[in-house]
Amino acid sequence: MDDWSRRNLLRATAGAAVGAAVAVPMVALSGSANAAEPSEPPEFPGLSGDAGGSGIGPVMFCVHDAQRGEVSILHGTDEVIVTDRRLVTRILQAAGSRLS
Amino acid sequence: MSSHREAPEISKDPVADNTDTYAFVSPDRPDTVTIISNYIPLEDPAGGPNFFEFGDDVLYRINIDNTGDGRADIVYEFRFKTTVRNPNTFLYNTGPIDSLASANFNRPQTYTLTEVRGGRVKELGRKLPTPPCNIGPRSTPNYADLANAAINTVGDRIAVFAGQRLDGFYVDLGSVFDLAVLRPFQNLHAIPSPAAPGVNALRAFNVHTIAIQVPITQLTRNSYRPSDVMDARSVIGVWASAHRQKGHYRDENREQWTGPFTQVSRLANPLFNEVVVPMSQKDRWNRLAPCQDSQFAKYVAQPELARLLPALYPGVFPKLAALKADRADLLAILLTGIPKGRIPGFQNYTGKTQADLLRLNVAVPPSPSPHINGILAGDLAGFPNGRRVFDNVVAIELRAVAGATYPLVDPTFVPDGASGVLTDLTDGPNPPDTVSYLKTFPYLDHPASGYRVVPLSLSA
Repeated sequence: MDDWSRRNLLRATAGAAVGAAVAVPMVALSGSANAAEPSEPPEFPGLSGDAGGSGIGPVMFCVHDAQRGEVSILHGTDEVIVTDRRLVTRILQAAGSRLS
Repeated sequence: MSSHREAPEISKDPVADNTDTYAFVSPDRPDTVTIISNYIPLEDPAGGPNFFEFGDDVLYRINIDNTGDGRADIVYEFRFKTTVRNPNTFLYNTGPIDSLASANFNRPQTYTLTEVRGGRVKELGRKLPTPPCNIGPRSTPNYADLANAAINTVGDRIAVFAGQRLDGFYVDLGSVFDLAVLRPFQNLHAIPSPAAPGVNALRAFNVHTIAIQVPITQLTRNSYRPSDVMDARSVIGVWASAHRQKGHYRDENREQWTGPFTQVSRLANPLFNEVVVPMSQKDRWNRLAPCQDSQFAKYVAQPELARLLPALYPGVFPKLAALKADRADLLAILLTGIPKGRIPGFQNYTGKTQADLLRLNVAVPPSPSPHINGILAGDLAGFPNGRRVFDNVVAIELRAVAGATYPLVDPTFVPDGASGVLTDLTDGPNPPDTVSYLKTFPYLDHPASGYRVVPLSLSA
């Protein structure tokens, strides 16, 4: 997995509140701090999706299959599918869920 | 309808909902092919203040297969961009729009046209204008001039237009989907009612059209210049498709799309997804490529409609009811093309790959006296040899499903008499008088104006 994508994912999910949800939705990352603090919405970056002036645009990910540790990462017009159970575990923890 | 709202998911996404696709040798420029794909079903011309427009977030494609594998060899891609000139008004136009550059046109939309050929990407045009919707005589006076100004020439003699048009498709929709009543034969239906004339349910509705006119030699395999109808290189396969990015995020502050484009709609043969593919498969069909269509061949071989007609019209279709064999005629017409030897002087066969494509034999010249029933009426330039804007595809396909084309594969089969007289609104050589067309590109007529349209009325 690319460093940048993994780092961004972990940053984005690290501060999320713990809840009871089990589903793992697609998440838009507009910048790590913004995604982690939904009570303070970021400035509207526009459809260009240039997150906080980072120049990387929005990055979204979707955990289709938590058991397999599979994450689909969408960025620009690309999709990268990685298999990383540690990453999925961290995401699930951040989402307030965990692998059964 | 041809493909208006033909599947559950895409019916909720009108800007990506492909309603009709056409491909024909241009009657006034017979060295070119015109391909048209329409979107946004049932546009009420008076639908302001937010009048209709293409989706800035949709990738529109016109695809050409010239090798018979059900995969695109040439793609024309259209991406739109909307500008708001005055963000402080609710108005679509702040005065009469007398030119495409008018400051009164508050929501102009431009587009980029890109050609993808053999993996090579070439931008053919950027910031190409579209006309406004036809609002009314005060807002869009001289509409024809506005629309014609949006016809551009790009690349190597390619004409292109994108904008609102009058829907050229016609169908007695309210009747067809009332348990397949075919007016004026409703007195023969299992639930009969007195005979009454048909109604063109699409009259005065608009659509949004993408039209491109390309020299034939830019579309055929190895730039073949067609001279022989029987030459396999004379046949091209055409379909249109719409795509959205996989990722969509929306909150109170933003809406974002990201990721690769994935197909959400496609269309080649009219009514394929609408009438042939069952409900549970329609959305999936929209996501697949034509080269994956063999899995749907069973629905073509044993079409549901062919079973319904004898049941709904008792005693009218006894030979169709007795026809249990796979419909090799429909498999050819819709999925492989018609091979040599079936129709004198004609073929549009693209090989064994089963794919829903509009197959156009570009060596067949435009007909000097076209008939809306196309090949069924002996007019080889019409559907299912491609599709012209005025072809009566509903009647042609109804007749084919009812058995009229089965003798192509079994000359001993004698169809029911009814299969040859099934009609949709009209049975003459010309389209009904509730629809009109242009004689030149983009061939679909200027859109109905919101001010002038009289709302439909209800009858008993």
